[in-house]
Amino acid sequence: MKNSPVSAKQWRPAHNWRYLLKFNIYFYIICVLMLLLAVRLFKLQVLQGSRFKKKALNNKQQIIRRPSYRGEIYIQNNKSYQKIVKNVEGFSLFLLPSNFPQKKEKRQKLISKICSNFSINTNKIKKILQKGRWNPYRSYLLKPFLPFEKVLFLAENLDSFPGLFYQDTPRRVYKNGEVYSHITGYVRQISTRELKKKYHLGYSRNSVIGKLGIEKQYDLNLRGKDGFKTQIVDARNRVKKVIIPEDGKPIPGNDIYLTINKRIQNIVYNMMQRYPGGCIVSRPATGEILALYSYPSYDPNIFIGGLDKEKYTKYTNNKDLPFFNRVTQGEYPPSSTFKIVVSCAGLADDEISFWGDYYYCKGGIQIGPQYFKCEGYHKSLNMCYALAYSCNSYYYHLGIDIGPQKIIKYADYFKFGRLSGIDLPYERKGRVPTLRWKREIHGNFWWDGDTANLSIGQGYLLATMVQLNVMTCAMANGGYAYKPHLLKKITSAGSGKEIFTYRPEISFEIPIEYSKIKKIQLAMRKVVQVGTASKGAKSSLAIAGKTGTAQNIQGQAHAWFTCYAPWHAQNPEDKIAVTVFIEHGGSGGGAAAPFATAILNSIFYKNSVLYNYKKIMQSYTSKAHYYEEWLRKRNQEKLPPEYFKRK
Amino acid sequence: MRKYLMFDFYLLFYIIILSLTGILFAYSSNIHIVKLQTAMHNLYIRQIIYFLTGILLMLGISIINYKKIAEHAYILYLISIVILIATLIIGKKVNNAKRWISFGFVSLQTSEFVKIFMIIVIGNYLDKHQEKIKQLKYLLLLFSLVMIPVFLIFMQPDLGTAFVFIPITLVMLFIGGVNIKYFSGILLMGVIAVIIPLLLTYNARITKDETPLLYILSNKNYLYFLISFLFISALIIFLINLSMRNLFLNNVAFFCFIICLGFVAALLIQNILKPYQIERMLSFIDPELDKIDMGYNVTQSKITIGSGGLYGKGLFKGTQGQLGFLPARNTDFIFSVIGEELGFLGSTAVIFIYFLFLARLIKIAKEVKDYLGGIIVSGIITMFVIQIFINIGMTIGLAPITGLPLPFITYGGSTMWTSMIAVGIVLNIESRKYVHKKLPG
Repeated sequence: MKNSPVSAKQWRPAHNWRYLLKFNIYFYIICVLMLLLAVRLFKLQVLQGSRFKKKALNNKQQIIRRPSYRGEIYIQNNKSYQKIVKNVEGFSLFLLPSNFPQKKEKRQKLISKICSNFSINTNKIKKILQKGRWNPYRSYLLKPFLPFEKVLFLAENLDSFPGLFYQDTPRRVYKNGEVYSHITGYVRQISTRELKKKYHLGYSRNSVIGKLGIEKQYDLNLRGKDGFKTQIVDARNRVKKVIIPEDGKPIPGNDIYLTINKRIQNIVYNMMQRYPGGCIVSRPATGEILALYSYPSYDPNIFIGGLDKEKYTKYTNNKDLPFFNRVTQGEYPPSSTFKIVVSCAGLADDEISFWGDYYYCKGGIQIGPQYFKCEGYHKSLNMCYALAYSCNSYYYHLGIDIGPQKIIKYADYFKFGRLSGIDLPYERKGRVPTLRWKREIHGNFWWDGDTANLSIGQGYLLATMVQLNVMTCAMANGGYAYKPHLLKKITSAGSGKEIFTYRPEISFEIPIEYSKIKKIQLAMRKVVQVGTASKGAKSSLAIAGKTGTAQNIQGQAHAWFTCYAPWHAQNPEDKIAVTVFIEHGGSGGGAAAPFATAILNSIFYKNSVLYNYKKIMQSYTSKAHYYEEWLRKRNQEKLPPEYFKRK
Repeated sequence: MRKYLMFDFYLLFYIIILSLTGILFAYSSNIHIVKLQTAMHNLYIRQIIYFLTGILLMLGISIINYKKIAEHAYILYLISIVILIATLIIGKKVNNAKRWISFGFVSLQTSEFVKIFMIIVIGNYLDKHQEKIKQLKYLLLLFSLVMIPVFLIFMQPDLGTAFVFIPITLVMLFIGGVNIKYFSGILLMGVIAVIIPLLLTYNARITKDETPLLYILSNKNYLYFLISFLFISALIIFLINLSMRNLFLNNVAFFCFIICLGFVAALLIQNILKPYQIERMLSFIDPELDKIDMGYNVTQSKITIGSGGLYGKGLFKGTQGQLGFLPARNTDFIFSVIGEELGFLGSTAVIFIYFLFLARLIKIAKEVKDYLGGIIVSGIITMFVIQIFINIGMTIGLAPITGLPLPFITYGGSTMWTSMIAVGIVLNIESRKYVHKKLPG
């Protein structure tokens, strides 16, 4: 205050302009500060208010999934339906760490008590408690699907188990799981890879998804829609209030009815209990599959409620691959059964006459450097007897005469090398070698030897059981076949109303006259009457079929027999086609035909004795003895781990 | 008798409205606490008791002549140092900090009262040395006088309250008329001392880039070199200037010296300050740095206030506060609860009342009778302004989280009584503005 006229001791601040100016400045500073606060509040509350409201809601709301009941699966039983996959109300055991006693001694006592009563590992509880230290108000799954007595026991003694409680959770049960496992498949928790692929379809991290079979194929129909409820929680995750909205009710999944016949499936199951192989039974008139079985099979119940590790390792260590569905996924050389296709190709454009054209079989033919053998010494044959006796020499000649292009064309007509369209996942295509394919893969040109191999169904040719069964159906129908299918109808779970009914749809038609098909049918009948299956397929039924003995480098020949009966049926709906395949079974007529015949006998003569494999083996096969020995040897030797790896 | 009735009733009115708001929200924020915790449930009753005793305290203070109080400033200074040391020794330890002395039924935060004492002490000092304060010697003496209690509070540690003393002192000096050169020099030194440790920690933790400047600053050897270089150059310029007596060169030498001192202070702060205190300041700069620890409070507070919207969720219906997502909802973040339940309208109304309150204080300050009263009122205004701005600012991310209370609204006896005493002193000064004679009492 240099310029202040009054001495410092006496001045009155109210009259000093500097003093007033300073306070005026100070006042404006305060104005600015308060305005700053107000502007910031305006930005937060008015401009960004809705954003923060959402955040506050997220803080206090938790959305809890309420699992829906998955649809059930039915099969046919005496013109009515029977459940094979159903949901049972199960109770799971949960642990709430916040209610667990804090003192160490009490805690130890309770843990040992729980372990002894509910047979749970001590480490599991300790792990959960360790996790729960950070989030003690969350409930942790301790054991899925308690047995009912245990639930009752817990309900009575709930006070002596603080921190434990039970909650109902739907549980999937596969009745006679091993019989239907390759049809139904199984369900499990969704994996991360699947979730990435199917996120848009409404799957979440907790959803259960079908992994194989019908469960996978019709998962979207079966799974239903999960419900939800909202929980209001506080900062420590304690639940304050539960809100169940109108649209939060879980919608159960649709039920699925299959064409599988319980009786036939059981027959097939009982027959096929010894040797790795498969069998498929279908009705040519509609394409519906009556039975489908691949031995060995697995029990899908091991996946429900926590993996049953003991059984699972037993399955994965099995050399015969129980999870491998041989019917749709197994690719094998069709061998002599393919001669039906070659015959069609020969007859179609009148290149070869069924009765009139003969070839001479002298036990094989020489093509270039290689000698192609025949099973026997058949002398002069026409097509009828060539098919009946399965003469290779005849078909070598025939194949070379009509050329490989034509055989490939007809194989394509029969949908070899293409998906048959059966409603099971992971179906394999098989393989039809073409000239171009060989050039690209092997770098070699096609030669007559390849044609010879192709015309007896060996060499590069591969087919699945379904494809051969469809081929048989086409022969039974007279030149056309329906798409093989397992689905009969889908109904909604609540009302039982039909949502979808499957209509048979034609898969392919062969451009060939009906009279020529009839001739081949006759030849197939001759196979059973006088030919290769005359011993194996002895029956009062009019069976028509074709055997196959597939040479392979792994071991003994695979045995094929594909047939239909009755041969002369007036009503096409009566016909039933059966394809049996036995891995390394020896000869088709010796090993596979007896099975197929026994299955057909059991199907048509309801009162007949139910054959089992032992009787069949006793009465027919001479090679069974060797085969058993070979099988035992193979099971003893240890295979390298590469053998089990997926290719 | 007339002078006792010459109360500023506007001021009283604002205080009562603010205090009632505080009581209401002490009730609201604990409405859903489980009944087992009765101590928390009855917070608002305690707050009412604090309010009533505070009013009595205010009236009592306003009766005693402020000049008489100021005459005994050295006693107040001694008391404040004694109670701060006592706090360090026998204080109650809460969250690694000794800030409270417990008296059984009530525990007091001593640093709150020291604020008032120091305002009177500084006011008295400036009043005694009105002309001399322009000399550097007296200025430094004042600073060292203030630094002792600030250091003691800093040791508790209570960074926020310790920080409040700096603007209070600066504003009182500014009003009291200080030499602008020294004033700005000291300000510059303070800024350097605060910014360098912050910058270095920020770089070491987050950005981690190696620009040469930061490298020089973070390397202690370089820093020692820089300090000695500045010091020697200041000395040389000063010595050369002894003969020339050039004012500009003199100023250059002075500021060189000040910057040198700033670096020294920065070094000291970096060594003394605990890492969590620096991180607190950092989380103010960028609240998203670590959401779980320090930033969590800011983020949740912003959500709380923002979710109130324009009209608020309604009284007693706030979710963030009542479900416990907001930490310290009774004390530091009470304003967030107000913002959530009353919305933009309610929170700006509270700010507006504070504005009216401060404007009233400024008006009183302009009309005071003497220099002493003016300076003391300016100190009290600054105390309020800083507390209001930093408390509200920290709830909306404008200021660092320091735990400064919101006057009259925050729950707590110490802050309520301190604010009441401060207003009592203002009323005291205001009621004597027309009295020229020395009055008894």
